[in-house]
Amino acid sequence: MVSEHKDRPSQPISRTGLILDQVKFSYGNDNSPLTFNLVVAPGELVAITGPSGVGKSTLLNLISGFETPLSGELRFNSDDLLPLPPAQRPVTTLFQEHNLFAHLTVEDNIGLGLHPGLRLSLSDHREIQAALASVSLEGLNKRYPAELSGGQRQRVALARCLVRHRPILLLDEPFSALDPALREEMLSLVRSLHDENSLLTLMVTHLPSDAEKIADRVVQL
Amino acid sequence: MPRFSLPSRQKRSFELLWPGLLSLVLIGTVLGLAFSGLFSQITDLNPLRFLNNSYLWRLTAFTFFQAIVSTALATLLAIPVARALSRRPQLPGRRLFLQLSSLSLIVPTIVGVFGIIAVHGRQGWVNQILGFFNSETNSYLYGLTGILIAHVFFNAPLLTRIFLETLESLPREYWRSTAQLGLSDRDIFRLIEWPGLRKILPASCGLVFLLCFTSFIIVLTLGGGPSTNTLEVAIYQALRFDFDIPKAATLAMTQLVFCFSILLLGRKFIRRMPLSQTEERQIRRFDADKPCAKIIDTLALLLMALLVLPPLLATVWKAITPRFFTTLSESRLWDAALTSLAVSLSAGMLSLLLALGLALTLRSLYLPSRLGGESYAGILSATLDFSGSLILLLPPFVLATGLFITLKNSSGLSLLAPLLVVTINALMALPFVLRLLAPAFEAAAQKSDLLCNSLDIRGLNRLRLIDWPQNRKSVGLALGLAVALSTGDLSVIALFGTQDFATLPLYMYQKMGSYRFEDAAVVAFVLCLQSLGLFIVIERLVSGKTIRPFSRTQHQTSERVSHGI
Repeated sequence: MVSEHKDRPSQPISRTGLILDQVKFSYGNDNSPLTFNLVVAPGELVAITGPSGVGKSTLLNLISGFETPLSGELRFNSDDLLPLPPAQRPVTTLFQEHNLFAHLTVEDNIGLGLHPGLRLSLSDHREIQAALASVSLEGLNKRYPAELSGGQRQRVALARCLVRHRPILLLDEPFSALDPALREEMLSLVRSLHDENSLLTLMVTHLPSDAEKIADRVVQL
Repeated sequence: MPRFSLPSRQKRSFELLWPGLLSLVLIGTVLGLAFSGLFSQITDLNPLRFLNNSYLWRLTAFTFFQAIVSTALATLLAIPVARALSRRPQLPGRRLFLQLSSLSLIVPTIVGVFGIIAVHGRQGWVNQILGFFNSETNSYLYGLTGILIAHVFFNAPLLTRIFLETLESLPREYWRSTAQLGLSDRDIFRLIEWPGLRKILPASCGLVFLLCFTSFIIVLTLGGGPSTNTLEVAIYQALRFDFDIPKAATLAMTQLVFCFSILLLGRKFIRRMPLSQTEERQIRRFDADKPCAKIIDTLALLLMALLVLPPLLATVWKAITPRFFTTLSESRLWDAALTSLAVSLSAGMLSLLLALGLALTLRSLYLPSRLGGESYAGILSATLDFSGSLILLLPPFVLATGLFITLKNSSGLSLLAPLLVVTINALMALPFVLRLLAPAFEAAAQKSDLLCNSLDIRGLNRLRLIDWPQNRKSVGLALGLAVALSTGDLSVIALFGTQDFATLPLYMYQKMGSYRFEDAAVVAFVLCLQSLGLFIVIERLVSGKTIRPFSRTQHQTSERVSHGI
């Protein structure tokens, strides 16, 4: 299992899981390109830490398709992800903020994960209820994001991630804005959702304590 | 009561209040004089008379009709163009377009109209191209078509900028989420962009509607006849040609009533209007490469380019004529240029002083550490703010008519005309100037007010040591804009202008009126040069920047604070 920045994966392991092999990326300035090598096994929850500017968020953006690498390979279960647009990748992302569209209700925000045009069937609505229940927010369907607390908003965003049924969950400093007690609660929620849905989870955080709390493995960039 | 026995709190309140109150009194005096003039001429206030007057009825109906259609067309064009620009930050020419669209405030209307005539007129480029292919040439410009073309020409770029700014203010995560969730082009518009745009639509469309409702030069030059007259032009004609003051007063009151109703319906008018380039936010959107997005965007951009670019090119092209130097050597041109200079500088200064008074007091009324806690703060600040934007509702002719009626007997007309032109031009620039100054003053005061209080820096010392260095950039921008707006204005001057008292826009209009288009093209060139030149020089001088008109590096900080009107 490899985390080092510059080297090749030390051992060619199984073809399942998420593999970044010599993925190079540059923001187009004079700095030398960042290189990423990483292997994550299915079912693993990996925390990514490191000083700011080292490319933690860039790593997630490359996996989800928001940034395009200069070269390298990105595979999931031997499927090449690089040619796929963001919507077709087996990935769902939880950002630090603005996960929810402020003008849409909780229900609609989650519903967008089921149908991108919000044409929802009865069973879709049932699934939204179930997702809300799994993040303990029953009954808040008609609220707007502004009427929720910061922690509740991230729970709704997590619920949307769940209804999308994507095997890879990416968390980009999702709870940094929350106070310590709430953060702890959210972290254990993530851990249990990860286990229940047998996800492959990558979480970027700048807090080593968070990383150690729930991760199977901590990668230092 | 002797001064020293005044409680210090009252004295201090007065110190903070007098600049704004002085501005308010000055504006109020002008308005009061104008209204007393108008009311003195209206003998019959029976509203039923209006219903029976079919002329007034038709006039009002057409004024509404053309304003509604113009606003709708401009909005329908601006939305797809703003979307296209928002998802294509790397588009070649994007920056130029945005600069041009903020220039549309500074480029005089009469120059734009001239460009439109050069392209769409009887001998214009379109008809020349049609003639080349042996198609039938026709004149389609004068009348409703011309009015609509010109209104969309001026307002669609303005709306595009406002819409683009709104779209760009949406969080970056929105575009990432839409990409990950796989929203289609239609769904992105329906679920994300439209809800964002809808919030600013009433205010921005309301503003454009008012501009079209009261538009003067465009209807005067392109209207073509009595059937396509608007209230504003009818007021002008009643005054200038019929010398029928009661009729003008009735028309003015009608116009006023409608403008006020529009305001009451719209309530909040736009507080922000993009003026100069904002910082460029490089937001990557992921919906730019879809085929349908490409087709729609290409069509929208092409349509906008076809509408906006040819008249601008024509203005430059037409100025290159054999008569260039002959026209330049006419002494009347230089007289007009000098008159314009004097009028615009006086109007700009007056406007700036009025706005400064309002802004200084407004900021004290907003700050809790000063007067913000007083019981009257809310009402007074609303009054001051409203008095600054009032002119958006009061068409200049309404004011001019009223002032003219009141003052016509008091002194010689020769002195009255310049005075009225300067005063009304200053008031016309005031909303723009105030919108630039007030937010900048508030932002600066919020940063330094407590410090100033603790060191007891106030009055003139504060102005000199704190306020001036903090705000000179916005002051420069505001003064430059006010002077440029007055330079290009052709409204009140059309009423009071004579052979001896003509500004450049009026001189140009006279040339166009006598079908001397080659001469008019040269005047347009000089007028643009003067307007832009004054804007750039004043802005740089006052802001304390070295004059390098085409460098684009130093602008950023001031405009981030103050780019909104």
